[in-house]
Amino acid sequence: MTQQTPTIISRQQNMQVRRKILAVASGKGGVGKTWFSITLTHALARAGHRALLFDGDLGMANVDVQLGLDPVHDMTRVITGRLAMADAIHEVTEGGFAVLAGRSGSGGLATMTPRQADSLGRALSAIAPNYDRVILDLAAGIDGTVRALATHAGVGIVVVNDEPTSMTDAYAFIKITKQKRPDTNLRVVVNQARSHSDGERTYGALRKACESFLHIELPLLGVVRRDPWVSESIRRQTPLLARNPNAPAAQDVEAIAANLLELEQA
Amino acid sequence: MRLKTFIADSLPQAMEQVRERLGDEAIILSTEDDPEGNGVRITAALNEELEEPGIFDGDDGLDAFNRLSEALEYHRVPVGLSDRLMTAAGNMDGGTPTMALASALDLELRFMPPPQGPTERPLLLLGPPGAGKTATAAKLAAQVRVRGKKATLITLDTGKAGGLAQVTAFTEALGAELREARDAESLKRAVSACPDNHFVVIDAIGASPFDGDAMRETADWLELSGAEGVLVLQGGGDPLESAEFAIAYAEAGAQRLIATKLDATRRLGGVLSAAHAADLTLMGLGTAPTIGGGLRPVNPVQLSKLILPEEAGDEPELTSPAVANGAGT
Ligand SMILES: Nc1nc2c(ncn2[C@@H]2O[C@H](COP(=O)(O)OP(=O)(O)O)[C@@H](O)[C@H]2O)c(=O)[nH]1
Ligand SMILES: Nc1ncnc2c1ncn2[C@@H]1O[C@H](COP(=O)(O)OP(=O)(O)O)[C@@H](O)[C@H]1O
Ligand SMILES: [Mg+2]
Ligand SMILES: [Mg+2]
Repeated sequence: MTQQTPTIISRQQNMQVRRKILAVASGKGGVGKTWFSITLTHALARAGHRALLFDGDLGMANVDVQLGLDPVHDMTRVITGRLAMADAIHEVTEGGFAVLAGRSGSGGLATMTPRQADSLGRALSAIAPNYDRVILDLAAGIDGTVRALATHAGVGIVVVNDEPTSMTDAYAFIKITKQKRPDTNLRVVVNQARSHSDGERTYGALRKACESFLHIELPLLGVVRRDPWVSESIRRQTPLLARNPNAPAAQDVEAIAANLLELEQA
Repeated sequence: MRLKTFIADSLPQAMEQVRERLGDEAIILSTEDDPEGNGVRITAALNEELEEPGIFDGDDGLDAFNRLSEALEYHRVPVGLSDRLMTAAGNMDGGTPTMALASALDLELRFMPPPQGPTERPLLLLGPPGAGKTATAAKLAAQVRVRGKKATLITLDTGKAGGLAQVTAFTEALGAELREARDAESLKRAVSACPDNHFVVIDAIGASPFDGDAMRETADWLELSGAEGVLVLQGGGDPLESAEFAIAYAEAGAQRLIATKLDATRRLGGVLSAAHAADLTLMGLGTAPTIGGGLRPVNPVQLSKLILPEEAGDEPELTSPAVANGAGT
């Protein structure tokens, strides 16, 4: 009897679930993490995948606001075990994807402990097999709660823009993730770029910092251009891909979704 | 990482500013013509690495990570606990994987050695039938007796055929005193009759965690005797079931855990998840049916060594159980 066989089987099962869960992180707030998470989930659904979006920005809970959902369930009840996670899921019919979103300003969520975040992550992993992809919109920062949720994801998408603070905060997230979970697949999305080439330059700077200081390679998943359609659709509380799928930012996110799926095929 | 942007008329001037402000260690992240037409703009960064690297950092980091997670997987440590241990281990600065895991175990679990003399409160051993309560009571008394201290064993298990004969044989061989009790009231009297200089251990009747009446009775014994509840649980059980059992006994009042029969099993996940789920203090590991030397104390470093194979890639041998008999006592 060796350690190999059973170990590999259950590690693989565990890895399969982890690989389905994509955490969207940024370090800094306001770079467009929530908007990007929503749009990526939508793009994956449009590509024919069963996709679930989880609002892990527990203090702010702004997925429901951007989508204009009536907050039918209070995530505090899920955290405290009074509501099964599967029963808190909301279907976004116009997008063809599912959402698990917390109620804005719910005090219990803001004060969640890392241990609670961890069990929330475990509950999420338990329902992940029902979906092809689970997108996890993380809160800003790198505190214990964010990290506890992030450890359940096999892929980390780091969203940055060209502001220096976005760069340093993203770097801090990458560094701590590589320390705690070196098996996480980290990729970069540059958002709010003036142009694709501008975005690539921003990526180049972050990549260089990570190569020089952390000795890691950090692939670029794509660049999303700054686009007035984004705030327009947020104001209307309608997903951009429903409102105007030809908008530049919408096309960029669709390209990213295709890129993501292609990378996984490889 | 410290990041700074410099604007100058020419590239050499900008580079000079970088060196002045950030020193020779700085690296250039990007160079571009300033969009406002003010010459050139450089973004430079300095690595501010003050803390020591963690064990998952650097070139060997992924190996250390895989080695730890494979070992936890091998022992069937439930994913929730193993993630906590991995995260805690990753937070440790430097050191070897064994030491990082030891620190993580120290953070997530509680440990104490078996008593070496009289304790403030008597210990009451509870747990499922056949777990090794009576043998463990004798082992605990033996550890105290070899140090020249006095010991009393109180048994509640007088009904079982041969039960009394078993403990009588043990206590006579150990030179310990034996008392009997039938119920919570007589247990209370038996405890108060014990002199202060005696280590007192109470051998309870096994109760199934599914037997509500038996569990309530156990809780009564604990409450009236003022004893400390020690769960005696067989190692090698299914980790989730072990955790559920431990939680049920903790609800009845158990605070400590002695895991038994580790000489007859190979995986420690059941023991770890029981201790963690029910927040029980790990007080020892049973490693032989024999009374002398059959109970090993355990600390985080020893437990870490039991979990991690000697070398990366090593597999435990078929012939060796989770914990070898005798060593460490
Ligand atoms: N191999 C091994 N056997 C043990 C150990 N502890 C107890 N036993 C055996 O397990 C059986 C049941 O033990 P006993 O103390 O009577 O269990 P109780 O019903 O809980 O009191 C006996 O045959 C013991 O010798 C141990 O650590 N290792
Ligand atoms: N590609 C983009 N083009 C234009 N505006 C954007 C873009 N991405 C995000 N924004 C704007 O940034 C704001 C913050 O976005 P949000 O998703 O709430 O950020 P975060 O979740 O990172 O805090 C939004 O109000 C949105 O209008
Ligand atoms: Mg947000
Ligand atoms: Mg017995």
